[in-house]
Amino acid sequence: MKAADVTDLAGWTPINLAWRPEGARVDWCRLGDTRITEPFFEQTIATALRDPARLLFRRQTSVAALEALQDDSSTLPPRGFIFHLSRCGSTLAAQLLASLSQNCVLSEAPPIDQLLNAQRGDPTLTRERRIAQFRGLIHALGRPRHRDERHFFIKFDSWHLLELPLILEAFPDVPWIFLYRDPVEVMVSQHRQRGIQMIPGIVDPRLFGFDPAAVAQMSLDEYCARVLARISMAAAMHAQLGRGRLVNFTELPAVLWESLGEFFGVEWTQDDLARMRRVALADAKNPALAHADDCAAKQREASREIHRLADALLREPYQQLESIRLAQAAGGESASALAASVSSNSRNQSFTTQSITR
Amino acid sequence: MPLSTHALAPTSGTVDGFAAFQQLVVNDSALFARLEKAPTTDAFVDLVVELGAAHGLAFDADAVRASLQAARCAWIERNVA
Repeated sequence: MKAADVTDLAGWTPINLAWRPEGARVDWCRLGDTRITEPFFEQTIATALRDPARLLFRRQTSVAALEALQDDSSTLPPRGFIFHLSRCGSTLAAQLLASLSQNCVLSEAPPIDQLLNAQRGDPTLTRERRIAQFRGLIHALGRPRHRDERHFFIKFDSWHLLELPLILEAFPDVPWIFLYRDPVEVMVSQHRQRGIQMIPGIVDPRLFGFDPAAVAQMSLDEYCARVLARISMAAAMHAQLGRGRLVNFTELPAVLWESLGEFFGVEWTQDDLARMRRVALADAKNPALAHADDCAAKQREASREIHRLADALLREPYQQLESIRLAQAAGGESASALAASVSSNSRNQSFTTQSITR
Repeated sequence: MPLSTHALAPTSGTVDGFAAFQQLVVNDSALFARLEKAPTTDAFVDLVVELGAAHGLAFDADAVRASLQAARCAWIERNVA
């Protein structure tokens, strides 16, 4: 054990945060000056820890180390937040941004999820401390590693949209987008290979406001539809918070170079645009494969049950998102009014797990 | 603000010497940079022992290999309460 100053953590990146009875521990690793370009932060860390020096000479601190970093000015301030419904092009958006060397893009970094789940690890944690720790973590992750890096983007896990108010309280000026897609296509993708949030128990169903006993009676497809509905409704309800913009999958990839650069406050050069267009030709999660438009195939593949669940639980939230997005595109005030109306209706309609009949 | 921070704990062998060397490396980026350049795991283990000895810290290759293995396991089980 050794007392250390915050500056001692320069050059260190938080890679894991574990909740223990004796208190939360943050695991730090020297990542060096390598740019983070993998589709997911976890892949970056797995690669880094193959190096025996990085594996063996790591560091642990208490979570207080993060609070001490909340006002650290030596880091890249976040330039944009990417939220999403899952399976709707968010990895493509992140990979297009990561293809430019001036951008540092962290995708679904586990320490962010572990910290946003902090209240489960420590129910006594106040909102004020959660915000301080979150700010510190983002600053620690945003330390420039490569000399070209100027802009810092964070792609969150899909369920983090539910924490948007806290995230924007920590970073009120950061522009954010929410990506979504036709719900049948998202459900087909989740049916093929489910994300961890779609398996009750891996991500706690209570996070979505579900009663575990009711969840036990649901099929996996129904659970998936309800998780997607919960996130979609929250996105519509929060659309007016801060500097938000809804983006439909159908707008990708061109929306990145046509308007999102300006939205995030960055300028792309002609070389940047050419590079992003090239990267968009490849599959985002497996760049060795060519990108293929799979909308029609997913619509054909959808079972009657998936169509039924999508119609019953997801069609209305999707249409609300579309209405707000189109109003945002038309310019402003009507979008805020729509989002406020969704917010008001949502408060009057509790989301119950009994609201669908077979 | 002073913070409590420590290197990951070693698990076997000549523990005290290796623990002291770990603490030394996590606080010395130049020393870390030398170790990071080792081209293979075998070369890395030899270099750790050599640099440890150069700093007056005695431990053997087995202690380094055991700590590497323990660190791998601890990482895999990092979120198991």
